[in-house]
Amino acid sequence: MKKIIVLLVSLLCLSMLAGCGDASAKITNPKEVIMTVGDLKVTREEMYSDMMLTDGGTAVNRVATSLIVNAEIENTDEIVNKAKEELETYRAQLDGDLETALSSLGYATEEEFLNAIIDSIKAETLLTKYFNDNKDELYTKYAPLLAKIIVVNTTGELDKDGAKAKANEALEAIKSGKSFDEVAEEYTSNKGLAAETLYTRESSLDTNVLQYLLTVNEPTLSGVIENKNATGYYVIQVTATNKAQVEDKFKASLLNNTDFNNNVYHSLFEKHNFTIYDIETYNNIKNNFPHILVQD
Amino acid sequence: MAKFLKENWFVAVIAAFFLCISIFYAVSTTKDNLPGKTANGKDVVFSVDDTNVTADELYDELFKTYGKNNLFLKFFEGVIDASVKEDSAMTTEINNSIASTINYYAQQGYNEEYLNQLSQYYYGYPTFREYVKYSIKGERLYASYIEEHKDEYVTDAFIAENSPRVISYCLIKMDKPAEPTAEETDRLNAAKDACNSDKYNVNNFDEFAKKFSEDTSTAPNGGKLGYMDKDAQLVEAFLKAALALKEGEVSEWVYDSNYGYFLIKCDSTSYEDFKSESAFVSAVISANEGLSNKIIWEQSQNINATFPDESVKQYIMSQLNVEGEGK
Repeated sequence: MKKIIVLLVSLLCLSMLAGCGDASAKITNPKEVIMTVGDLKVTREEMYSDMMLTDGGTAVNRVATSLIVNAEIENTDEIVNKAKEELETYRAQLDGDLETALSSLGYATEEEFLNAIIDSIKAETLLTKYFNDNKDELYTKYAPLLAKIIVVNTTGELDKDGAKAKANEALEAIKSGKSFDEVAEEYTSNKGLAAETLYTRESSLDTNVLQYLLTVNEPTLSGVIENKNATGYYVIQVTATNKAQVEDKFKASLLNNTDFNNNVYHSLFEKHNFTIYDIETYNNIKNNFPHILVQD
Repeated sequence: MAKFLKENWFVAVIAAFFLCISIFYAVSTTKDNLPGKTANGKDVVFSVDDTNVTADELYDELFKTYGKNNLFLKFFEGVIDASVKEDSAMTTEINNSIASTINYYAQQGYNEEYLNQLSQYYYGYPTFREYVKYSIKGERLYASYIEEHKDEYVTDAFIAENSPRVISYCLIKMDKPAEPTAEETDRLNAAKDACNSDKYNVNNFDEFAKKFSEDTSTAPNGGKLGYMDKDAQLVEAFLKAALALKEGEVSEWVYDSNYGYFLIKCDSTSYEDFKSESAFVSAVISANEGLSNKIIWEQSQNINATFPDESVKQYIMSQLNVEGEGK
């Protein structure tokens, strides 16, 4: 009797430890053979394992995003009509072979593909919606403005004093009434920066230039600004700080910004309580799509 | 029970102690584990709000995209493996092919990982080695099928159209063939004289090419280029002269403005001499649209491939663009 009790206690302890690992989601009928070729038997389990290894993270991201996008944005006639227009464009481009193209992409029907287009339009709409809903916060975070910059760098023929004098000449020319563009054409060594461009707190600019831009609240002409390494001088014309004036470029810039996209989706996946119950999927998402992982 | 515990209190205390330790251990080691979830008896992979996505649903989603290609590749590999047994000679051929390709790409600044990525992206193979292995084994299967159906595919019309042959050549290289130096002219004249000599005449082309050819890739093998046909990627003058030769004939010296002078010999126009050549098999396959797919499907039927799921069979057949009952 004593031995039996000890054995039962041991089994109880073991049973508590057993099955306590990370969860692993299994498909039903894993051993079902879907194809036999020679000695090769392909089971559902093997297919699932292969597919998850290759495409699992992407598929989970795609399906979860679709669920979230559809929860956030309702189908409207405008979205559906836009999707139908895109479908017709694809049809015209593929010269009547849409069916084959869709099949190769894994779409069984045109309707499935249309829904995928609708999802992608909704995803874009979702980002715009996020931008509109969080506009004030985003303006504070990024501090966007439009500006044109003249650069005069030191060169073998132009020493530091010479470069500074040339930058001052440019500044005086603008102050005396010449257009910034005209002066830039004559003085700048970087024509790209002379064009009106959107800059934000995260722009890759010289520290001194960025520092100056962050202090500007309205269209202004700067003085001559020496760069951080004292190898060049800048004259900056801030052309727009008004939200309405910078909005289009600011929005376009953010919609193409990976960090912004990731931040938006992180907050949405959190809001919709995205939860993973399979350790392989968890690790895959952690490695490949960390921005959507919202559980510890 | 009380009596039992009273009589065995020490055992009970020990058992309780171990039970507590076990509970503590189980709780502390599993508190950070990922919990599982089931819905309607099926394992859930993830959820968004109240929507559960099960492993079965994810399987279907994956199968729509990556799964079909994966399945087709498995089918192809299964047919090849069941039909072509890899002997030591084939293993050597596969390894040599892999080594030479890796070496070639290394010289261009690409490593094996780059080739692995290409193989995976374009063909779905996990590694470049797998891609080469199944390409070579597949070629053997096609060659064997063409041999069995020679009368159907290697017809007089095909021979006349493609001019398949095995050739050798000797090259006298020149930097600027249009303006040869005296030394280059001397080398050419020496070779021209030798073709008619007793020792290095063109009837002994093998020895002649070994001695005089300046093409380092073919000279050590007696100038053997191997199989070629009308689609061979060769300089125009060379191709034209080589295709004009009958078996055993040697061309006149052929001038090419980039390389110098070639002397070409047609070693054979016999099917037996090139039936296993990769380029010949490719030529037959190219000349007969759908032949490779037909071979794979017929072979799958010979080895009793079975598809319990009719949709899988239909998918494989649609990929191969074949018709028939199958199993």
